[in-house]
Amino acid sequence: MINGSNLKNNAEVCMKKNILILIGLFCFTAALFSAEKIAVVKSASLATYDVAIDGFKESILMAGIKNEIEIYDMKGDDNIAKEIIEQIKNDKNIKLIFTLGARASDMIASEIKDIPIIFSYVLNWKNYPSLKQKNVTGIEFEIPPNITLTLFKMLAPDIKKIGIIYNEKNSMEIVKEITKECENNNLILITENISSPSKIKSAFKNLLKQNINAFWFIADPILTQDRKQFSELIENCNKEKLFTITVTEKLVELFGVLFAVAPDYKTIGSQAGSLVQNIILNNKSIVDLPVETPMGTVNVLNKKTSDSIGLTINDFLIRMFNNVYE
Amino acid sequence: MNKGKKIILLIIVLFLFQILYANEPASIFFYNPDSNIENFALLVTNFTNYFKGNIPDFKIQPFVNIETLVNEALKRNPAFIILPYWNYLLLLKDKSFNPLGLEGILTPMVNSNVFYKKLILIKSNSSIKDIANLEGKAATTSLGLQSVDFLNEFLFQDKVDLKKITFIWTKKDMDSLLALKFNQVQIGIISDKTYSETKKTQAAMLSDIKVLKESKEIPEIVLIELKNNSDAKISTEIKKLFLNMHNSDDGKKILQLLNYDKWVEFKK
Repeated sequence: MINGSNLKNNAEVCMKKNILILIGLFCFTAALFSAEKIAVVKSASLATYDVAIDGFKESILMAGIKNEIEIYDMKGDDNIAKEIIEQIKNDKNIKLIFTLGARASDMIASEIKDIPIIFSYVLNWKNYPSLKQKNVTGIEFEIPPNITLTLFKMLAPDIKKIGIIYNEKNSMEIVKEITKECENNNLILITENISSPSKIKSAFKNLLKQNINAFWFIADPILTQDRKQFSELIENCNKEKLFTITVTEKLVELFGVLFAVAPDYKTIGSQAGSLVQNIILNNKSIVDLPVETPMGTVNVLNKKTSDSIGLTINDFLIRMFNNVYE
Repeated sequence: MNKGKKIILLIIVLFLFQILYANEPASIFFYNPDSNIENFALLVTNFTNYFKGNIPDFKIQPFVNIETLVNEALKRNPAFIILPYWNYLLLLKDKSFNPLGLEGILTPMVNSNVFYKKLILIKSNSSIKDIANLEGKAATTSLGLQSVDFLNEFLFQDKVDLKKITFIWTKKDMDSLLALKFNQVQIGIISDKTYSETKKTQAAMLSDIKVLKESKEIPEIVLIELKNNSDAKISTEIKKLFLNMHNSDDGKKILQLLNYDKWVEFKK
């Protein structure tokens, strides 16, 4: 006999079952969603990579992205690198990879074609065919010449003629870019293409003959191969009271180059985080996200050099420097 | 173990405890992502030159992020912290800081004003006409973690879903300005102080940039005293030195670096 009380009990049991099923479904979906991971792969155990990873994590957190972040360290070893690549290939929950350094970026991109990859800390990334694939984007490691020139002009507004010594096999592209930016800024760029470090001295003399008042140390190995020649070149620049610029803080600190503009590592991480936000939250395809130039700079000044060439720096500009070497 | 050894051991334990949990009554922790100061070494030198003569144990410790400052402050017990007003409000709500007797005591002044503003900048030829158009765009700002709430409170006021703006966090306003100038982003958020100084000294930088919106007035940074970590005599001296900063050459160097004119009493 079916009475009202039985009916009520049945309905309650039914409702409880439905609630349990719903909770189960919710947990299953949540587990599936939360299982999605982002792999962060470092080429080696470098503190500079960790700064970018901090910026990356902060950016992801602020964007409200909940994916688990798993960090892998290749420790500069190809065997470890291969193991890591296998682990990533076998982990179906990894939905995106952020790589730091040329080794990690190139090796991962060469092996993994079906997961979006964001690379960073790669000098001359265009030299790596793997980084031009459709599943890859990233952040360049070189500060674009327009930013460097703008900052340089703020610091030394009187510069008119800039000299560069380079080797065309190493630096043709960057010299072309600098030439274009100098033209846009009404500056004259005078270049000397050399084939060996022994030609540095004569190339510098040729530049002086053309009355340069600034010298740009681009990251060309031809300049740094012979340490003695290189030191002499910097000394001669300072002797001639040239405004000098470089991309490496060490050259300002140890060799007396006037000014350096380098990328800020934390901002690189933040940029990588914003790319993740565009892929995961805004559903943008990686194909529509071109490789970005660094948006954060580290500016370093050698005060001794600035004093010796008679450069006056106002308070506004002084606040712009991360470091001033006395 | 004989009685003598036990006493020595007890003294060592007490000594270690003292080292680990001692207050730092002459220390100031500093964090201000809005200051445009990148040169922490110079900041430390200028502060030390000014304070050291009167307070031999004086120390200033700058931090690049608020989380580290908070963790270190709870471990090392400094008597003073300099923070943006927004972070001060958050610390007041933080239960770990409640027992430390947090109190804002001084604030700096610029052009007789204890407030500043944040500006939303866009390119002059931008299609953005209103802050409602900012969704889906990329912005750079020099503020750090926790700043999304801050930006909403003072600048966006719930008119934009900030989750729909892609923020890139730079260390200094100049980076935000350059990223906008060279079309790396569509929005740059910087302080009115950087904007007016750039206009004065580097006008060409702003030739193709315009202000879309100004924030409400934001109180400047606050010198906070942690009463339970402080020593009355040292605190009085530190406060006096802050208030007299604009009267000495060494003090003026600090103010110039921070871009302030002088320090005044903080009014709650």
